[in-house]
This record gives sequence, C-alpha cells and structure tokens, in this order.
Amino acid sequence: MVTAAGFEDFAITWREDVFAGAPQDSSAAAFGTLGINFRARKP
Amino acid sequence: MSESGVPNVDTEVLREAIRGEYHAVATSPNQGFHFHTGRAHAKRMGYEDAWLDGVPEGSVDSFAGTGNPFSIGVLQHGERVVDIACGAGIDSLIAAAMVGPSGAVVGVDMTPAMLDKARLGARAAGLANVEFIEGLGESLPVPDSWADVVISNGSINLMPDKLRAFGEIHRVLREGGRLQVADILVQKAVPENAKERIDLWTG
Repeated sequence: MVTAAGFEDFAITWREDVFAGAPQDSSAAAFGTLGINFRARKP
Repeated sequence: MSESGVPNVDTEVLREAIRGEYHAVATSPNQGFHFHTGRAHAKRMGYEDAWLDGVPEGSVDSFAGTGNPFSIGVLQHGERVVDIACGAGIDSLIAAAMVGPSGAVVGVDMTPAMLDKARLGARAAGLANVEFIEGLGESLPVPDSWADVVISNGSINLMPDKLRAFGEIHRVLREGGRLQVADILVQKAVPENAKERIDLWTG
C-alpha cells in the first residue's frame, strides 16, 4: 500500500510484540499483531 | 469491504470511538489500557533519555505509541516535520528539539484533549517551532510539498482508508521527503466481518 501511494525504498526496520503484558486484554494476540517501524521515501 | 478496499465501517462512529479511547489516554493515562503507556513504554520502544528529558511529563505519561519513528533516523536542523495523530505531543516535541529553531513541526490530531495536552507541553518546554492543529490523517491541514519528513506512531492502523492516508502523506512531502512511521503489522488474516467491528478497531 505504501508503494501503491507512490513511495519507494520501503523497508520495515523493526518489529516486536508491543502489546504483551498490557493492563487490559486485547484482540492483538488473536491476529498476531506486532509493532513495527518502517520507512519510505517520496521519489 | 467496499470496492475501494475500505472496510464497511461507519467512519464517523469509528472516529468517535477512537476519540473516546484517546481522550481517556490524555486525561487518565494510568488507568490501564489494552496497550502500554508512559515513560517505561517509551524507553522499551528505544526512546533515549536525552530525547525524553526535554519533554514535559504530561506528554510522556500519555505516550501510547507502537514503536519509535526516530529509530529510523534522527531529524536534521532546519527540517520541516508533520506528526500525524500526534496525541499528547511527545514525538512532536522531540522532533521540534531535533530540528531546532530554524525548523518547524506541525502536529495533527483529532482528539481535543490530546491537543490541549500537547500545546501545554510545548509551552512548558519553551518550544516555539511547533504548532498543533485539529485535523485528520486522511485530510492533513498542511500545504502540498511542505514537509521534509512525516512521522506517525500507532495511528495509521486506525484509519479505514489507508491508501488515502498514504496519499495525503505523499502530497505533503517534498520530493525526496522521508516517511518514518511506527505502526502495527497483523500477521493473521482479519475476517471481513471483524473489520466491521468497531470494538476490535479500538481494542
């Protein structure tokens, strides 16, 4: 989707389970949700 | 799902639910949410003490990001930055310190309580190169090609029309401008009926 919007050099630079141990239950674990950092550049 | 790929969800109802959730993060950040908040969480996301030291505690308390846009690269003096869904302003304030007086930061958020807290934080930090504007990621109140960098932390996943959101980012960035984003990645397929459940968007 990022490249579809016209960006290039897309890369995910980090990923981690950022919801584990949160005070309230969430749907995050059910969908294998991770926190990520990503970058891209407008040509 | 509609033909455009946007989930069949009432966007205004969804936004109101999100505003309610993040109003609570602004006003009662320690009440306990389905995500982590505060300084300890920011540290876990890799925020350096030197960045956080300049940010008033109120903005740090309401940090609820899913990562760290600055881990991708620090910002340069003089750069212009847009922070999408800036919340209580922690990333905007860090960015304002990084770009210095010759740079500028615009933080955009749709939750008034978050904007109030962000503006208080900017005043307390003595940062005059940052402003906070009420608005949406899908229709940014920023001129074309204004920004050198767009940052965001945990917000694009809450926008139903993500292609429109990325189109807006593309519009406000100059040629060669950078996108540095933290967000979420869902590894398992989300059923279409789940995408229409607002309680799953906010929880």
